[in-house]
Amino acid sequence: MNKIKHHFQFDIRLLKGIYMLPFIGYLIALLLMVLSYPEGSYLPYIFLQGIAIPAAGLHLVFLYTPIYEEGATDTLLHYYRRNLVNDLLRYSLLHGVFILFLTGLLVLVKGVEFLDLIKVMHLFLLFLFYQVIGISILTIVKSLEITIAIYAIYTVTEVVTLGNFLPWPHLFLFEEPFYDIWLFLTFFFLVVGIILSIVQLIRALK
Amino acid sequence: MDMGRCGSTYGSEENPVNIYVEGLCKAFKKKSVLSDVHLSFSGVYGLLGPNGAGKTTLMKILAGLESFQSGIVYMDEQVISTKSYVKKIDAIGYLSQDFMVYPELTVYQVLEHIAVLQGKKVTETAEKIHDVLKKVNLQHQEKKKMKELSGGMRRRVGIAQLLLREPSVLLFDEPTAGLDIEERVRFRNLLKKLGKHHLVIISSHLVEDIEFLCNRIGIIKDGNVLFEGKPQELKEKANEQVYQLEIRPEELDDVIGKQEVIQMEDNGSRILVRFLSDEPIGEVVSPRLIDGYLTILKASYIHE
Repeated sequence: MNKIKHHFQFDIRLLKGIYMLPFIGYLIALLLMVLSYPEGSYLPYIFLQGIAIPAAGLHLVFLYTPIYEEGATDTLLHYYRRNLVNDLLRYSLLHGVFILFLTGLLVLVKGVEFLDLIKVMHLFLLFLFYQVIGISILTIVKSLEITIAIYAIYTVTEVVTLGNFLPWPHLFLFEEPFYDIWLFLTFFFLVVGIILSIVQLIRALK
Repeated sequence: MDMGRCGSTYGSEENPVNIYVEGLCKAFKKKSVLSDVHLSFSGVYGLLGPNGAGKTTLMKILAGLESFQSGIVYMDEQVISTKSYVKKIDAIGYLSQDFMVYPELTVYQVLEHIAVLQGKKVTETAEKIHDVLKKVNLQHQEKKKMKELSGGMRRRVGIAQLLLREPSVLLFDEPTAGLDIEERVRFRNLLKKLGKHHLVIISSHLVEDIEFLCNRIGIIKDGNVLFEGKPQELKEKANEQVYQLEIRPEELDDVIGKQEVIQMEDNGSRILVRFLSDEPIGEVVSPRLIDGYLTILKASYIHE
């Protein structure tokens, strides 16, 4: 317990104000979900997918950036490698609680029948995907700025254009899903993305 | 045996371990970086060589940070390498020349976190940190931010974080590079002290550091081992090849043009010049370490 407390205290001390960014993301998602309530549209689910879940993956990106700062790699890589699983678990649990809360709100707004098995599985896979993809990109490009740029460009472009703009893998659901090839491809790309990210993490931090 | 957790599995305070490297080869993009390297590291070991000789690569391989194509690495009698990597074990600590972590945090906060990352209990860290800070003579700097420390102090924090995990082997890559003279002297003395209880391997191109610190020396150039032995044996390589002349200041340019001058001592009206020569010119003098090193490098250029 002392160790978990230490890790969170250290993370806050290290990141200072930046530590609050994911929580600000949650707040924005929460406000938008509540404000989009009267329309009875798909928007609350889009805000949960497109703002809250991507925000949930940011902490680990920020926290693993010091590895790639000048003069730190040879020292920190050795230690971070050992703690990667713990860190993934810590932040998955922390953000899992917030996402569960927002999902609860979604159920409140849209009714319990809205959240069918497909959406539950989709949310779960999307959450896992965003927990590992950012840190995985970081281990490739070794730069916080480039990682955030890739992360943000993909997410913002997808959400703003509702997945209609660029011919790249689409990971979000912007309308009620049907059992068609597009739904299959969304799940396929999510699973492939998660697997490739984990492989990259193992490769980079071995 | 969980080697990753047991820093003290190898050697002891009184009997530091030895490391043996056999037939180590590494190539990068078809260019050979290390070629059939055989070395026996013991005591305080100095790895000398010109820039680009492969010293840093060898150090990083020993620290488990870089791969190799073939070869075996032993710690005493135990193989500590796989087919392509030296296993990352706590018994080996590596300090790079540009060590810097968490610039915005204090020395204590950094060490506390690293101790926890190493697997130590939070409640046990304080005593350990004070102990290692005392060893590296930074006990009064624990509240300073990392970015406020001088280069030498930063490197001492680097040593402190290594000592937290009680390694048997300490690898230092160009430990005094970029330090001012005062820091350099302090740092060298610290390394000397550490050498009493650890196997210390220092890579450097500064013969002066190696001469001060090491009881065994290896010279590599272009990935090949040119020499391994005691400092005295290295000096003997330049026997009958080091000469000294006492000249007038106006003769200096002429001598520098003709001879490989190693050292000069200005006595006002006369200058004492030491140089390497195959021909007997002036008075033959007993060689120093740098003479032996230069003789070996010179011979390697001739063979090329």
